[in-house]
Amino acid sequence: MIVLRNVSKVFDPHITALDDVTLSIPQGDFIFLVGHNGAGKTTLLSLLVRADQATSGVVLIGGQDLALLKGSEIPLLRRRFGIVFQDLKLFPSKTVAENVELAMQVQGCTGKRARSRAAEALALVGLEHRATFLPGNISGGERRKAAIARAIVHQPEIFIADEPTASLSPEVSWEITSLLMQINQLGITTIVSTHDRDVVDGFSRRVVALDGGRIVRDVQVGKFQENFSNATA
Amino acid sequence: MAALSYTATLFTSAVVNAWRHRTMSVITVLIVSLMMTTLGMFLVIENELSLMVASVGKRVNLIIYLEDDAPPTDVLALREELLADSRVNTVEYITKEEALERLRTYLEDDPDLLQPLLDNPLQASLEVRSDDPDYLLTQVDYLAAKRIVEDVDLPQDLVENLLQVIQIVRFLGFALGGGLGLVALFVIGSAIRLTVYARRGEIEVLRLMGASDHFIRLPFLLEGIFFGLVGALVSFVLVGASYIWVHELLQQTLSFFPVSLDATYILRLFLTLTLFGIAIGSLGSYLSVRRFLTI
Ligand SMILES: Nc1ncnc2c1ncn2[C@@H]1O[C@H](COP(=O)(O)OP(=O)(O)OP(=O)(O)O)[C@@H](O)[C@H]1O
Ligand SMILES: [Mg+2]
Repeated sequence: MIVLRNVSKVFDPHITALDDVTLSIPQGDFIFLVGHNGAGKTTLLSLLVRADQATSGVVLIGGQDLALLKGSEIPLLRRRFGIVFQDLKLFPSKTVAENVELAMQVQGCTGKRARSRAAEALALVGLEHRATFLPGNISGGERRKAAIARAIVHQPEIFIADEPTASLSPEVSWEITSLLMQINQLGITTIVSTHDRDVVDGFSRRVVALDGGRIVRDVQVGKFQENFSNATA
Repeated sequence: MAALSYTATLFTSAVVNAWRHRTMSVITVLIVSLMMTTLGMFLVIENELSLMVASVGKRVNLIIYLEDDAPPTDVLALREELLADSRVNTVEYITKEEALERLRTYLEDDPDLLQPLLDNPLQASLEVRSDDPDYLLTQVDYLAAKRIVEDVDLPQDLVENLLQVIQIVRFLGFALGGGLGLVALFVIGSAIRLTVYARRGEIEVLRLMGASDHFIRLPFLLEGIFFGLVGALVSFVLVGASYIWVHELLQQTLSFFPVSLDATYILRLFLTLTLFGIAIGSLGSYLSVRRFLTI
């Protein structure tokens, strides 16, 4: 269970990225986080993994108040997450398989076990045939899949994808989003931020809309379509 | 096994990192090598000089010439006193008669030379043997002041000079080695800082993936150790070759230098330089990572 209670985030000097956000996400839930540029999506996600701290309000992950975490506990918190970053952040000099293995090594799992788990994750996203390629030598869609494989290889509790379908063709966007649904079906709480109206419309899931750092809509399964354009216009 | 292969992977990536900044790496390795070669040279010189002192010292007897009227009990008491110190190996009492006998043996071929002697002109003496010429040196004045002692003789000059040279060599070695050591630390630190800077994006990602400090720092530590090890290897080749060369030169030119080439010393030299390289490499990278890799 993820709980945000009256969370605000103010960047210096006075940019309010999040404004009194209250939100709870039960274990195993799937949500789309929508909003236009600068709405606060990335900021919200970064608070969950303690990449940043709320200016005010409380962020709880599984009942644990992130403001009270000690420095040494932060890596342990982050290992419970799998993150696909907006800019992917794959290591360009490592092969796809090595990139995925790295996520296992970070968890303290090395050698054969890390390799076989990486192979499994690559198989899940359908990227076995690109295992030995460098990220620079595969397509944009394949790079997303590689980043997804890296984010799920250690079987996280919570999966976060920040704009995983940006600037992809509709077909590939669809394929990627289906993959995210599949991951959610493994029981992993899944939070996907997106701009992509077609994706949100096509998959009837809970939608949380941000605008100027405020939650302007929080709509359960399938009731969102007619309001989407208002929220993001 | 898994951890070992992982460390090997990390070490490989440390080498790859070093390769990415070839110019900086080459400069780093050169300076570290220079520093360690200097240090190694001083170690070798110090070792050779100590061997020299030891081999000269073994031949050195401190000779205490006794007054003719010295009572034998006092002489024996002095002998006991000298023997009481563990640094003294033997003390031999040479009476006037024995001294004359020695001279006779020495002049065997020319006995006529001693004919005109009516009285024995030689003095009784105590011959002190020690492996520690330094100690003997400190005893000269004390012994000379004794009533039963007429004179004390120590072939001081050579030993004293050697000991002085060793002091100077040690001092220079420490000063130069220490100064260059600081430079090497700084240079290794700068090289690591470059890598930290080049990899700051990756470090950020690793953090967000939940990597521990230890996990993030290890590759940099290995890179520092890599620099130290390469420096150690280069300096070992240079210093080892000079050691063999100097040693043989000394053996040829100095008759009293009987010590043959010592394989265990070469091994010790190798270990010393290697350990020193590892130490300076890891310290340099540790300090740099602590400063430039803020957690
Ligand atoms: N480190 C920061 N320092 C100052 N302002 C920031 C910082 N990070 C974000 N902001 C500001 O906070 C607001 C929200 O940014 P955020 O990145 O969360 O938006 P977003 O919804 O992810 O946008 P996008 O769709 O473009 O990714 C923006 O006005 C942004 O300029
Ligand atoms: Mg964003």
